[in-house]
Amino acid sequence: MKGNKSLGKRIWQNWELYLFMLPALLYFFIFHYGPMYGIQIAFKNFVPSKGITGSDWVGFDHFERFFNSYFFWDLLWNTFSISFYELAIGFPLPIILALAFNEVRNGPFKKSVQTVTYAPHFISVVVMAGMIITFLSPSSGMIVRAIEFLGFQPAQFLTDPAWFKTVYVFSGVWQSTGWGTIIYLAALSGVDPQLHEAAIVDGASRIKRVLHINLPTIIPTITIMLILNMGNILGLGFEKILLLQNSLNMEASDVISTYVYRAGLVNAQYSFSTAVGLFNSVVNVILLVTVNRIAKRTSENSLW
Amino acid sequence: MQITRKPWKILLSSAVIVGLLAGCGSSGANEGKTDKGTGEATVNKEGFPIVSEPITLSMMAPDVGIQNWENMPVLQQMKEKTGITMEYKNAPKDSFDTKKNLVFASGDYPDIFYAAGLTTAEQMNYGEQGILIPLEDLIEEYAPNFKALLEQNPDVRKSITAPDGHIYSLPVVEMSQHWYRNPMWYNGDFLKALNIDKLPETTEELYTYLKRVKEEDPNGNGTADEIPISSVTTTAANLRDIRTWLLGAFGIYEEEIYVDDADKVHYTPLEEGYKEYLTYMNRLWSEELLDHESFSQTAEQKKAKAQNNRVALFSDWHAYMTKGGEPSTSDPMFAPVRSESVSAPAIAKNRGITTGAFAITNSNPAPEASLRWVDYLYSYEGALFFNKGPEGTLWEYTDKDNRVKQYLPVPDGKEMEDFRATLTPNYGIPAPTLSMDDINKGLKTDFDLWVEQETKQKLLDKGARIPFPALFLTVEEQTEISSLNSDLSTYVKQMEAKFITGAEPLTGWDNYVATVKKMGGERVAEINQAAYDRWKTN
Repeated sequence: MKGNKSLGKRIWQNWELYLFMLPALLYFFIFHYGPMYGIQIAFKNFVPSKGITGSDWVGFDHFERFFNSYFFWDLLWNTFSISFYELAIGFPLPIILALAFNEVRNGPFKKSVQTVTYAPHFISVVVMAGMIITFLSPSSGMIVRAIEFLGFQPAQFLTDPAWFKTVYVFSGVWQSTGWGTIIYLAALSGVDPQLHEAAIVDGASRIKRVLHINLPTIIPTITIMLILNMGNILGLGFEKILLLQNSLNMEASDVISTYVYRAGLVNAQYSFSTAVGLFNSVVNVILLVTVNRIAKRTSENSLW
Repeated sequence: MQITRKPWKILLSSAVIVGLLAGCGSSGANEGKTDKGTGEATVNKEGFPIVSEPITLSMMAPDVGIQNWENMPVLQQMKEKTGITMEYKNAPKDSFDTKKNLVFASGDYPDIFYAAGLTTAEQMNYGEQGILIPLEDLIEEYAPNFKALLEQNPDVRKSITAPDGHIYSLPVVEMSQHWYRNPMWYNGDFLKALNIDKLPETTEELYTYLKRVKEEDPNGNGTADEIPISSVTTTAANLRDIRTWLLGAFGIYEEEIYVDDADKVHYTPLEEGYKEYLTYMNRLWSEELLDHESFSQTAEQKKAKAQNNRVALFSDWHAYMTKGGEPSTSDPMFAPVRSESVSAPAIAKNRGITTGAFAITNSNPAPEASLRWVDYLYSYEGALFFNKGPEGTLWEYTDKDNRVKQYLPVPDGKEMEDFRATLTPNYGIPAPTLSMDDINKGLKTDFDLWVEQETKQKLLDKGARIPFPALFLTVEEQTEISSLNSDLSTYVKQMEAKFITGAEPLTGWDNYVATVKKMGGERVAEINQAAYDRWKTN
């Protein structure tokens, strides 16, 4: 019945609902889609006084310059490797932690553990980077001291390129694992208790119940979170990388976003940095669409 | 039916939308319009106030974060004196360049750039685009003090005039400030403990001294915790505080571009002397004579080490600022050393002129008044006022006719420099002014005189000279240089760190040179050579 009605008619019938949507739509058009006309400076030589539309077209010059840049492959490799490393370590941990939290029955222990794991989330990036640098300082860092105390030879965490990615990823784990559990805990609260009761009657152990009842229930959430994470994969935590960067770890720490920052904001090459940033976004969109399609094929869940 | 059913819903949603749109509209309309009210107030050509009717201008400037500019007595009195109210758009000094770039790109310019450190490239670019207005005609009419300065020093005019013949910015003129970078200082306690009565003169003697510091426990605490040389890193630069001084030992004047005595321009990262510098630094690094935290530590971390009396050689404005304590003449200045491959060290000297200190944009409704405002800073009274604060705060006259002064006690037991920073904006930023000996007449402490003496003996008398003149590139040259430099400088910095720390052995030098050439290192030298030749013949 309803399917037969035209779109216009359906909108007319529920016009109040659409009116409520209007502010959100306007917001997206004004603040997200509107500014996108600025992307054209990636294909122009942007001169501030001529404005965005008035500057001269140069075609793909800026893209060519970037692809021919000495650092192109390094940047691409670093961006991808840090992202996937972070995903591989940082994505499963909140799920495991949430499943574990779910098994702890209510009480002061659960509450306090949760609070402790959430707390680091509220530390700002700048403070966080300061803490990492202080803790890992070869002369006075407490982590370095602890490693020495245990009788090992500590690595040059801040300056050795081989360590940069690990420091980056694991400090991220420390900061955000606890916070990441929240969404999974919410999903777990939706598990039907009857399933558990039935499983207990059938003699299923706790592990079995977690694996066969809890985990399947939150699979849709996990899939959606994974797709969302893929969408952000090249939009790495730029500030933290920039703050932890130094000449010695540069070969492992220079990523597309820090390169864009240097070219655009520090050296004022707006067109070039826009081109690099645009390249980054296009790669991101391709990844997002691909993962979404895979998810759609292999399961019932997808973003669209 | 449906329309009348829930009228409150419609009202509410309309209200939300109207509110949203109104919000956008009003904020957009207000921006940039606030200062333009009293456009054409008459400007007096002489005396104060400058304008017959009060006007308001906006001023963008870097801020060291000690005192809000609104509350600085110098600026408050300046406002009363001139009738010009400044709205300060400050950005922290460390991130000022980023902010400045954003402002230029945004199209919403302040009326005045103050102490903005506009590079010659920025002056050319934004001058040509009409964002910065040409000042040379205004100077003739409205800047008697600055005009006199130009007449006395033709070199200044040459240095601030862009290739298109316009002057887009006014400079800092500090002919009595000779340091290219902050000097390095020896820790005097260590020299004493090791009975050194003659400072090292060659790289080998320096090495021997640093080695002794490392091994002979000059701080006497029983452990070998001494750090012979310590340097710091910021996101923009590493080793910057010590590099120039050590490069000199291998005949190189500056870390990027310098001209030799035969008028040939060199790009330092390709020089043979630079390789020797890397070799020497690598030696210091591998024997732990160069602080292993030099590529990751902040200035504060270095200071903490120095204050525990662990550092032998370091860079700062004055030694006591790193070491702590009172100004002291017992920590001597580093006298540049030389290697075996040169007969005398190359020593860089400050140009004395820093362009880009003051500029007026095309949104300024009163360029004449603005220029008269800044012209005061190039007179004796104005320069003194902005340098030392109003009479009676930090200083007073003992003999006004001969301009002799004395310092007053600093209130609340503050450091004198910290107190000065609360009085005037000209603290730690490249503010437009002219330094004159008369300003400090009677105010020089024994320490100041000693520092001058050290500078003269160890730098000036040893042949310090300007490594590369302040000159302008054409727009095309500038565009090419900036696109080459953005990758080149990253690569060079990265490789310098690798060579020094041994992550890349010096056998890789030839590969490095080939890569730098491929990235356009030679072209950078060529472009600068062309610009230098033009400057020379002018």
